[in-house]
Order: sequence, then structure tokens, then C-alpha cells
Amino acid sequence: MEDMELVNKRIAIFDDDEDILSICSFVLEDGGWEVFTFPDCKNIVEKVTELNPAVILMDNWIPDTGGIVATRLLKASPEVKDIPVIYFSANSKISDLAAEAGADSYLAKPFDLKDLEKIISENAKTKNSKLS
Amino acid sequence: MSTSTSLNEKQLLNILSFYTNPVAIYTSHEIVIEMANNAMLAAWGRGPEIIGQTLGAALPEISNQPFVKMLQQVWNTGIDDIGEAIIADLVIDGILQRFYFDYQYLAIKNEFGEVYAIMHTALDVTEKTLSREALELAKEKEAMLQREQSLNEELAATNEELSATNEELYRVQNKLQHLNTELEERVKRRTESLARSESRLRYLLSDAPVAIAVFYGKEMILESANKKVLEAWGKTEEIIGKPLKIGVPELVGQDFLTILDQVFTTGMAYHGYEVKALLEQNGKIEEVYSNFVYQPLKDEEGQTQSIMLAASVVSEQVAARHRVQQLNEELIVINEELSESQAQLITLNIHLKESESRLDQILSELPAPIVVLMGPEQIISTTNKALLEFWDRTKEEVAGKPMLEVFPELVNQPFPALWKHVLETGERIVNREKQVVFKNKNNGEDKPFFVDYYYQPLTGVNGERTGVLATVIDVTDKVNSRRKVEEAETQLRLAIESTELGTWYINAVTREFVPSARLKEIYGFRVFEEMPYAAAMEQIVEGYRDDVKNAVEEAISSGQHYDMEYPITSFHDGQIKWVRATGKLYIGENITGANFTGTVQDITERKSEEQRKDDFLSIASHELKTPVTTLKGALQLLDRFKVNPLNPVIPRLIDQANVSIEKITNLMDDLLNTTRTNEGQLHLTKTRFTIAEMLEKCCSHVRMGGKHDLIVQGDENLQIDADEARIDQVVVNLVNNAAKYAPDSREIYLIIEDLGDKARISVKDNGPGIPEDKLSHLFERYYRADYGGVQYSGLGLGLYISAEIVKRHGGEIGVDSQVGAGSTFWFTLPY
Repeated sequence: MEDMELVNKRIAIFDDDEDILSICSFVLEDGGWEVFTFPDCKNIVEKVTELNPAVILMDNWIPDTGGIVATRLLKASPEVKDIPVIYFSANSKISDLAAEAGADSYLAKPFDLKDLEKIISENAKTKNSKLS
Repeated sequence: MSTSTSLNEKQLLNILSFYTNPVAIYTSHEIVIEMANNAMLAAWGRGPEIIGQTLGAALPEISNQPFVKMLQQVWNTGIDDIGEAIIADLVIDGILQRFYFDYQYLAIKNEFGEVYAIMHTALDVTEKTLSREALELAKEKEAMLQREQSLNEELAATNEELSATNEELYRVQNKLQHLNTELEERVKRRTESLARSESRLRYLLSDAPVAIAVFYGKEMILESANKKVLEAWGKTEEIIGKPLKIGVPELVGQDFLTILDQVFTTGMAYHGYEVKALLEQNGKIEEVYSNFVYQPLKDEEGQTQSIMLAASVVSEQVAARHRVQQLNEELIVINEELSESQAQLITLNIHLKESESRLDQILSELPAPIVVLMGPEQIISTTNKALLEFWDRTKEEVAGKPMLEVFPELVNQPFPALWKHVLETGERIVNREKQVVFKNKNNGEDKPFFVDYYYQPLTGVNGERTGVLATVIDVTDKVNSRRKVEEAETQLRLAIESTELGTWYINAVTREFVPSARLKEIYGFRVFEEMPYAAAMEQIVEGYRDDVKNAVEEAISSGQHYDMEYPITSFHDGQIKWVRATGKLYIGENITGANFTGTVQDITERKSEEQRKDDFLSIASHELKTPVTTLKGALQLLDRFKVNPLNPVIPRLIDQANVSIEKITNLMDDLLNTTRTNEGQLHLTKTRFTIAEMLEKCCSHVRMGGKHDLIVQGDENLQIDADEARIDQVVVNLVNNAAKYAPDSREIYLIIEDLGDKARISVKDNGPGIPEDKLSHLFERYYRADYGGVQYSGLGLGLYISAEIVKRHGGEIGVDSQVGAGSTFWFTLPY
């Protein structure tokens, strides 16, 4: 299963910090991911539905509604509710926030690149296995 | 000097002087003799020297004769007085002799009818009169003759046989006949004379000071009545000639008519003494008292023809005597009453003495200190051992003396006025724990006491107030010890109040919950409102309430101490407050008195400080973590590429790392700045300062940097009350922000505006501006930030801190910007 080629290598990142987006894009693109970044969460359900990424990275603070509301919107949508959402934040109470939002997993900032790659990889597999 | 044919006055008088009958002229009320002719002077037996004198002076012998008065009446009334044969006793040739005159007193009047002279003409009829008197003598003889005649007739009638003497008798008869004729003539003359003397009599009577009236016949026809009697009857002369009962109808029904009838019938005089008659006086019936006599006037045959009334009115004397009598009677009654009440008084005194001694005995045995102060002098009449002990006096030192003489130190204390009040009004006065200062008998030092006193009025037998009964209880020790306790309690309360602790206790047995005023205040109740235990519990925020209840129960049952912090909803305003509550069970001396007591402290301020600190730390850590995330990512990537140092990505990653380090350095500056100001606390120290002066001094680092010019504009004099250091910090943050995001904007404007109730300070740059979609979120995140999820700040910690400072001043913070038109960060501060 580990060698299984992922069908969908698209990833959506919702964060308004350009530096973080830059680093993440570099790392993930290097790992063969097609990275889509969004500085806000306007029309998030439509955007995600259209993009249909394998995994979503969601910052806790994202204009206009914040990560919690945005995640809940996604999880309330039949089309996209199965796409894994990884909550990531510098907030020390990230586990609570992730649970409150209904995210599938979380990653605290600052993070090791390895951990980033690992959590994305795991979630992407879940998504793909569900799809298959 | 006569210029006319008329005779002058003197001539007239001269003519009169030749008149053979006596003539005199008088003037004035004093009856001054203006003229008297020789005949008059001769009649008076005086010479012409009396002309010009008053008649009374000229003829002193007539002083008790009526003439002067008669003349005066003519002068006064203007009515002539004409009479006959008036008696005048005059001194002629030094001998008092009796004369009779017919006289005329004629009033001579002027054209206004006023009397200006009286002409007196007189005719001496003395001889004529005297001859009349001789006639009367003869008449008396005649009467004798008549009696003789009747005897003779009787004799003639009975002694016809004496015809032998008839001849002689005939002669006698003849003679008698002759005498009879003469007699008839004399009777006639006598009648005339009588009429004259009657008129005289009437005249005399009319002025008599006694009331005189004559009633004629059985019908009591009023024949004559003088002024006095008419006055007494309240009638006028009109009644003369009428029967008495018609003339004086008021008498009908009174005894007088009957008595008069009796007098008439019996011929016996009747004397009345102070007899009351009801007569009309001045239009109303009044009591008139008189002494009187009804004197029968009889004819020659002894038959009563008429009755003379002579009476003197004694109403005033009687009335005066009645008044005296009445007064006497009243005096007697009063005397009797006095002696009666004296007797009563004696009895009462005896009773009083008895009850007084009983009262004395009772009072002296009473354990309560008592004194009786008698009268307005407040004399110590009765007191007892208990009070004497309190006073430190013996009975001899105080008894019978005025209170203020024994205790002069009381003069300026309120008590004497109170005793006076009780005595005057009868009100009772009760007071507790009042201070009274007595002087020590021996050393004269003031010694204060506290007393409870009860003043009540003492009343005498007739209900009058006689004194004041004062009960005075020394409560000094009680008051002092209670004051100590109160003082200690006050100190404790002050101590508690200074800590702003609310206190409470629960009686462990009764569960009665007693909160302090401060506790009610903390829980949002008004101080005067009830706050039962259940109500207090109800205010605890759901989710904490059960924990608190359980903790309290546990502490009560186990005797454990408890210490909790929990939020409550303030009762009236619904605000959330945080409190720290502690409690402990205290076992009192009595096991049932076990109390659970506790304190409650309002820690809302501390809690929000803590929250702010948490928030601050949270934000600070979040802000730091964000660049650290980037830095960490960059470094790890560099690490991956270290085997291939020529990888073109490496310089980009190094740049990235440097940007992150720069961000971290800026954040550290902000943090240090905050910490330096007040260690993260936000207590404000407000002063009044001029905004322009503050702005000129601030941001020296930016000015020194030389990249920007700071230009202060607007109201240079505007002042505000604010924490100057904090406001300076806000301005520095905003200027730093401008310098960072508008590095090419040479001018940065600091603008001061007066908005009427607040000042607005703006930091304006000419930089690129901020896109609209970002603009709306710049500050939103801070205000939205609930304490559960602190948000990320894209604009750095400085803005968050600035917003907090402005908020704490009651102001607002915001930004206006358009892309390409620069940005204006502003904040407002109320004056």
C-alpha cells in the first residue's frame, strides 16, 4: 500500500502568511504535489468542490471567517466533506481548535518538514483509499 | 339825650318809682335788683342802697322763704307767677314781721322770647288777710254756736213743753238767724280763703322733696299730686282728676288700692316702710321702694273725704342695702366653703403625710436609684439608698436642697431642662445611655457616667403636677464594655472593608445565611435587599454552581477549608464577575453555634488582567511562532540541500530565513517595549497634557533615522487626560507601522483634531495603501478575539497592544486607506 501511486496529488492551503505559503509550496512541490494557496476563505465550498484536492491545510486564522467556520462549512458539504482537513496553527490550544472545527487532524506551527510531509501523505492516502 | 318822643329806660323806671304799689325789676338768674320803687323798698323795709344787690343778699330773712326760687323759676321758664296773699316774713324796723302780699312775677321777654327781666308788683294784703283770720276765729265760734244750735234744736224738738221759754227762744232764734246770715257770708268768704290757701298749699307741696298726693273719695280720684309723686309714678300732671287705678294702672293688682280702700273705710292712717311698688320708670316697670303714709283727711263730721299720700322714695337706699346684704350672704357662703375646704385640707394633709411616709419607705427600699424633685426649684424631697450611693452623698447632704445646689455641675447639662419640661407638660421622658458628668466630691474632677433615666411627673391630689420622679440607672460599665466590643468590631469591619472582602456566615445548624453588605454588592444586590443562600447560589455561573455547592457542603460536613474561584452573574446588571471564595467551619463554644464563615473577593479585575496577560502571551507566542515556522522550514530545506551547495534554491531559502529573523527581531522589540512600559499590565496613570507637545517629542528614533519627516498638524493647544506614556507607545507603534509598510513615504503626518468631546490623533502616510479586503480585518480580529481562540495578527503585536491601550482609555482605533492613496491610522481619546 505504501508504494501505491496516489491518483490525486492536489493540495489546497488556506493561510494568509505569504512566507509560510512560500515555504510549504516549495517543500510540497518538491515532493510532487500540485499546490493551490488561498489567502482567504471566500466561497470556500465552491473553490474546494471545483479543485477537489486530496487534502486541505487550514490555518486557524483565515479571513474572512476563520478556520473553524471554514472547516465546518466544508464538513457540512456532501461533495467535499470527505476531503481530509489538516488544521494548522501557532495557537497552543490547537488540538481543541481542531476538534471544535471538526478537522481530521492538526499540525502545530512551527513544524518539522518531515511531519508536514508525513501528515499530508497519510491523509491523502485515507482520502484516496476512500475514493477507491 | 332822648332823640325821639319815646321814653328811655331810665325815664320809664323813674315813672315806675312813682307808682304807689310796690314794684321791683330783677334781672339774671341770681335775681339782681335792678330797680325797686319807694313803695317796694318800704315794703321790704330797706333803703335804695340795695339796688344792684341780689334779692337774697338784700333780704337775708327770706333765705328760707320761697321767693327767690319762685323768681328763678319765672326767669328760667318764662312763665308768670301770679298769686294772692303769700306770706312774707320781712324785717321791718329791725323786727321780723309777717305780711301777706298779692303778687305778680311777670317775665319780661325780648323779641326772641328770652326773659331779660322780671317785673314784680305786690299788693300788701296783710290787713285784709288778718281780718280774714279774725273771721276764722269767729267761724270757730260759729261752729260752737252751730253745735249749740243743734243742741238747741234737739232741745226744742224734745222740749216742746218748754214753750214758756219760747219767746226767749224766738229771740234767740232771731239772733241766730242774724248770725246765720252772717255765718253764711263768712262761710262763703272762708271758702274763698280756703281755696286760696289750698292753692298756696298745692304750690308749696308741688316742690316738696317728698312725694305728696291727695286722693278724693272712694274712687280715689287723684285730686292733687306733686312733682315728686308724679316722678315716682312715672306719670305727668295729665293724670290729675282721674281715679288712681286709671291714672296709675300699674298699681292694679298690687296691695296699695286695697290698703287705700281700708284707710278710706276705717279712717285709720296706714304707714308703709320700704314697701316695694312696681311702677313704670322711663318706659319700663321697675321696683320702687318707699316709706309712706296714707293719711285720711276727714271732714268736720269725721268722715274721710280724701286720703293724703306722703311718701319718700328710698329705692336707692334699699337697693344699696340689698347689695350689702347680698354681699354679706355671699361672704357667709364663702366663709363656710373656706372653712369646709380647710377641714378637707387638714384631712388630706394627714392622708398625705401617711402616704408620704409610706412612699418614702417604699422608695428607700427600692434597688433602683430614685429621686423625687419637687416644684420648679427641683428640690430633692425623697431619694433612696441606691441613688445616694451612685451620687456618693449622704441623705443629709441632699435632702430638702435644690438639685442644682447639690450638683452645680449639672447646670449646663440637659437634665434640669428635662425635669422642667416634665413638670410643666406632664410628659414622660425616657432616655438610654446618656452621658452625665458629676464632679468628684473630694477632688472636684469631672467624672463621666452613662445612665438610663426615666423621668415621670408626680401629681398631687387634685391632679396638679408637683414634682418629677426620676429613676436613674448607672450603665457606665455596660456602655464602656459594649463600646470596646463595638470599637473592635468597627476596626475589624474597617479592616475587612479595606480589603473589599465580602463576608458571610452560615449557621451550620439553622443554615441561616448572613451576607455582609459588601458581599451583596459583589453579587450585584442592593445593600438593603435580601440575599438568601439560594439566591446567591443562583448567581453562580452554570457549570461552576454545583462544584461550589458541593465544596461548601463538603467543607461544612468535614470541617475542611475551601478556596475556589468561580464566575458569577451580577444580580442587577447581569455582568459576569469572577470571585474567589474561601470558607471554613468554626466550632464555637457551644456546639450548636458552629458557624461556617467565609470571605468573597471580587477578582474580576485580576481575572481580566490574567486573561489579558494570557491573551498577550498567546498572541506573542503566536506571532513569534509564525516567523519561526518559516525560519524552521527554510533551515530544514537548507539542511536537505547541504550536500549540494550549488543548488540555486539555497540563496532564496537564506533570504527567507533572514526575513523571518527580521520579523522575529521586530516582535522582540515590540515585546520589550511593552514590558518596559508596564510589565504587560495595563493600569493607566492619567495626567493632563497637551497632545501637540507629546507628538513633537515622540518617535525620535524615526526622526533620527533620517528616512522620514514627522509633521505635526492641527489643534496645537488641545489637551487630554490620559496615560501619556501609553499614548506615546500607541503613536510609536503606528509610526513604526507606517515606516515599515510605507518606506518610501517621506512625510508622515501626525494630525490632531478636536471632535468636541474627544481628541482624534491620526498617523498618515503616502504609502501604497492597504487593499479594501484586508482593511476590514485589520482590527476586527482583535475585537472578535474571544478568550478561547486568540487569533493571528498579521500586522504584528504592536497593533494589538495599541488597540488594547486605546480601548482601555475608552477610545476607538481604526484605519482609513485606499490603494495608492496612502493610509491613515487613527485613534480617538475622550477628554
